[in-house]
Amino acid sequence: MAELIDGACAVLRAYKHDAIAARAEDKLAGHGRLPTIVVVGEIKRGKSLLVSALIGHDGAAVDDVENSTAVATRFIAADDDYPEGTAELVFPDGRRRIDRAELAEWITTEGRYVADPAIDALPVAAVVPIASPRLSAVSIVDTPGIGGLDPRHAALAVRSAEQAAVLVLVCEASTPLTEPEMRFLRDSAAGVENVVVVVTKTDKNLTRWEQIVAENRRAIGEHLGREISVVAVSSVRALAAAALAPSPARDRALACSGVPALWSLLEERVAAARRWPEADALRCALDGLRLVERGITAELAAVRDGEAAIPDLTAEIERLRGLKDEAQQWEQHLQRDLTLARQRAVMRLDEELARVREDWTTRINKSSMQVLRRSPQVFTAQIQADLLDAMATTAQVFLDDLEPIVTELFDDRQQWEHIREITVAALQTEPLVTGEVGSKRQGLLDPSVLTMGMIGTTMLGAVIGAGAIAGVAWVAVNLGFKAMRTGKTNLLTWLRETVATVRTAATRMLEAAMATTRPEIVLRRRKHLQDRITELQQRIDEATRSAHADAATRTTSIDRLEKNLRITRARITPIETALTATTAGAA
Amino acid sequence: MSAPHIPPGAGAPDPVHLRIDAALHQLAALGGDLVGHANRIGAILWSPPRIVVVGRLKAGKSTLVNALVGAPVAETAALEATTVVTVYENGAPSRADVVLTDGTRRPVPLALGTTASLDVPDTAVAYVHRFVPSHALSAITLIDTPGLATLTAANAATTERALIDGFEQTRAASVDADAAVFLFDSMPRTDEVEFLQRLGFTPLNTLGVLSRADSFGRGVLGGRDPLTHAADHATVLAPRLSGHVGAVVPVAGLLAQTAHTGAFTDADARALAALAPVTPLELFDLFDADPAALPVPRERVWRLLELIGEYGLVHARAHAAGGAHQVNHWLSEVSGIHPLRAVLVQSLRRFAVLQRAGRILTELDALAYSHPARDHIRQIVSAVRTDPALIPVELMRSLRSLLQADPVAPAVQELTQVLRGTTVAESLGIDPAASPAQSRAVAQERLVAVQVQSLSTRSAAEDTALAALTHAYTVIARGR
Repeated sequence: MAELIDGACAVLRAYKHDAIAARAEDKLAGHGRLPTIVVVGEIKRGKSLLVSALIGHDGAAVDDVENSTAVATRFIAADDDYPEGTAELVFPDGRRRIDRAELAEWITTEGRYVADPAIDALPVAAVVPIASPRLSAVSIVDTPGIGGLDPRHAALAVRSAEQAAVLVLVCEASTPLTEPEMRFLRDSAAGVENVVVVVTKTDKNLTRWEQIVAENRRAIGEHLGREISVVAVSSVRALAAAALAPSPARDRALACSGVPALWSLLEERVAAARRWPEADALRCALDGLRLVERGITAELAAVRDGEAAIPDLTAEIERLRGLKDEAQQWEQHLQRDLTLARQRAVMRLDEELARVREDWTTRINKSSMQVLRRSPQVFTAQIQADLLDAMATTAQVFLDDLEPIVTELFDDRQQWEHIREITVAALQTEPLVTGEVGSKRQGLLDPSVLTMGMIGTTMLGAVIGAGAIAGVAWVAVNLGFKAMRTGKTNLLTWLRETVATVRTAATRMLEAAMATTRPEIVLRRRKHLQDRITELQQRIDEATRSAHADAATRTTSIDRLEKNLRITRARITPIETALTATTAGAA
Repeated sequence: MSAPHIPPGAGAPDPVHLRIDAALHQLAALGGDLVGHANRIGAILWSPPRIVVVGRLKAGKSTLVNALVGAPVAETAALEATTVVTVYENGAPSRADVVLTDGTRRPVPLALGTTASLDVPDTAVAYVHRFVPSHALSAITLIDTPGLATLTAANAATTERALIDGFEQTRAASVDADAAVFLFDSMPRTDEVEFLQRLGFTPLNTLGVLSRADSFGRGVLGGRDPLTHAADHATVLAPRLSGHVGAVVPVAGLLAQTAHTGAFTDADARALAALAPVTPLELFDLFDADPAALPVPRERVWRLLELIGEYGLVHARAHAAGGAHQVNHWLSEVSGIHPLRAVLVQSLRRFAVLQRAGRILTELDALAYSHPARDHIRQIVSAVRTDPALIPVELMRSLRSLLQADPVAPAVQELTQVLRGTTVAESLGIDPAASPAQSRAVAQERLVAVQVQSLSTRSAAEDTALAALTHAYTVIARGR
């Protein structure tokens, strides 16, 4: 895969398409994102203990009978940027690094800071680096079970061009899959390619677990239309085994725990899921190579046909010059189209925000204050995710409208890719500076969020991914904790105000995008027309020269061009094959 | 008119019972069909309190019922177990009736060792009425329920209907309960607690049971003893759940069930002893990977696991030398069943009686409303209601209503304290060594405070609650 891209990029660079080459390489690297295993499940199923057992470190994830995880926690490999023994807390207004020993106090339901009414800013996500060989190939996300199974967590694992993932649903060996769990598999997990059901606590149900696993498989076959692997493990036995000295007894204990077998299955799924970012890189390289191919073919035609080609070329130049002259008229049309696009986006924003507000008002009214107070972090994280979702949907709607406007003006996709990148960059408001922010963490709206049709799915992933901090909405959501402690009326007021803040932020965001995109499109269009005119002029010159050149020179030129064409096509074919294989393999 | 039947082992009859019984005699004296009514209500009055066992699927309800009854009467298989509400009542011979939602009752043929199947769909069944000759059931009637959050929605509807509509249903078929035992694993979930609240019990007549204590936390292979851990956790949970349950006790139902249903044999004890030299982790591994290496056949180990679980397998080995008798004794001791039983027949029962009495007063009110002789009946009922002996009943009723209407009202705490107290000092929350004169003075102060509160109440339920407290404090202030 990598060689195909390398070869393609060499050609692209030779023809001065450096931007396209860089983009393809970037996509291949997947922005440095490792595949993710997202662990979900109802409360007290043993998710955190399983995560520790998978990582191989007892206590990696805080598992405690009194406490429950309250925020999504991503486990990554420890390195110089993220040393072992520390943890990153993601607050609404930035990140903070703490000692790992303090983690439980910040992210569990009975944590000291969580329960302290004086503290009104709590983290909504955490990143924990651990020195474990397992984490060099994947990262693992432990999710809170409070509030039941959350579709947002499943959304994390939906196939994304930017991120490969496997969704693990944890249930217990004492009970068959419950109705809520089955519903989750049927509805929320429907869009997820890779789902594995893990049955834990076999050590507490030695005579029952096999029957339970069989029943789960049967029920899944009956109620869902798909194949989902069901694996039984004992996290306790795995951790007990890991604590023994290396010996045959240890190996046997580990094997009996079921965790090594689970890892094999997960690795297999992760490998399958990895194909997607690679496919995207291939597509990008292919686009570029086709551009090159077209260029060479045109040149070849000019040399072959000689003077006969000239009238068509001249006519085309005239047409383009005409377009150039109509610039003013055309620019007014552009202004109108962009304004319409922005208006549509704002309308959509209002719809989304109204929906979020209604949903949450109902939910707040229905829930007892006890419930709200018990898990303020979960509620805040959810409200936040919904609000960011609304912002991202708005941005995506705008981009969707922008695409046809731009592609009509230019005849190549790469122009659109460029404009898109500029717009996305403009959608980001000022970067927030906190103590530990580095160069990777600029911007508030992670561009990886805005992939086609993947809105919202990587939202929470962006939240706790390695390179994102959220937007203005974060700051407002911060105050939710305080509101939650003072009663429902205040909470509803706070909700109304927060929604209003998000609306302002999103509208501002769109204005910024418009202000940058419009002149960019205008300038690019002018340049594009001029470039095309210049190119055509060159063709005419070549054709003229060719007409006056002797046969030998002409033949040399043709040979050279044909050779280049062959080389280019030789790069194109394997990429097309690889792409077909990737799409077929995933099916 | 039947003589009051006092359940064996209940001690002296409760003053509440006696006063109501006297009222029923007066009712019967009016003649006509009132004799029948008085007998009917009298039977309800004297029957043992009905305690319903609720909790999530596989929380261990049926296992606990078996342990309390002392016989393996409830279904405890791995897959969905109890599917209908089952009432366990003391009676001989051992038999069962199924009561349908239309009120009809028919017998269920029972055969020893097999699970009886009802030939009607579960949704048509109101409850199964199971009679078992059991001493344990002479003091209380147990009601087993299907679990919550099962795979089919039908199960949840079955439990709800039977319990919540119980008061309004046809009286003959009603499965009204007077107290609840709420089983949960480590921590009750929000939906379970919400369901519990709808059932209309107070924390005083609800007992929390931390179930499966023998596999608590990380279980027997974790670093901490599960039973000790469970006991510690129960202490932590009790104040947190004080709005829903009066106490939290840990129980290892399986151990109790085996100990009290006589299933464990001397052959089992010998097998246990033979397994003594194997380390716990090795025990698990050999069972899975190399059963032939075990000193005892796998089927026997399987049987031991079914009887006493993983914790029992690991720890009972040390107590197997004395045979089944020694093992059963150990199982019973560590299971926590004795403290549980003590709470059930003492404090929980006390409040169950009050709830039952409240229901009877409602019955009498209904009679006073609809019967031709209503004036006479009203006199009798009014006299009963205002009798000081029935103040606890009044307090209990108002507490129940207040919890439904406004659980955070300050009166809730006060009502609870007064009800909990077994002496005047306890009810007032003062030093037990206080003199009667001091108690009366404190009661007088409380009376005044209550009257001030009643100027700014937020609900009718609060009004009623304060009226009940007024009544109670007045009686204490006047001296009893």
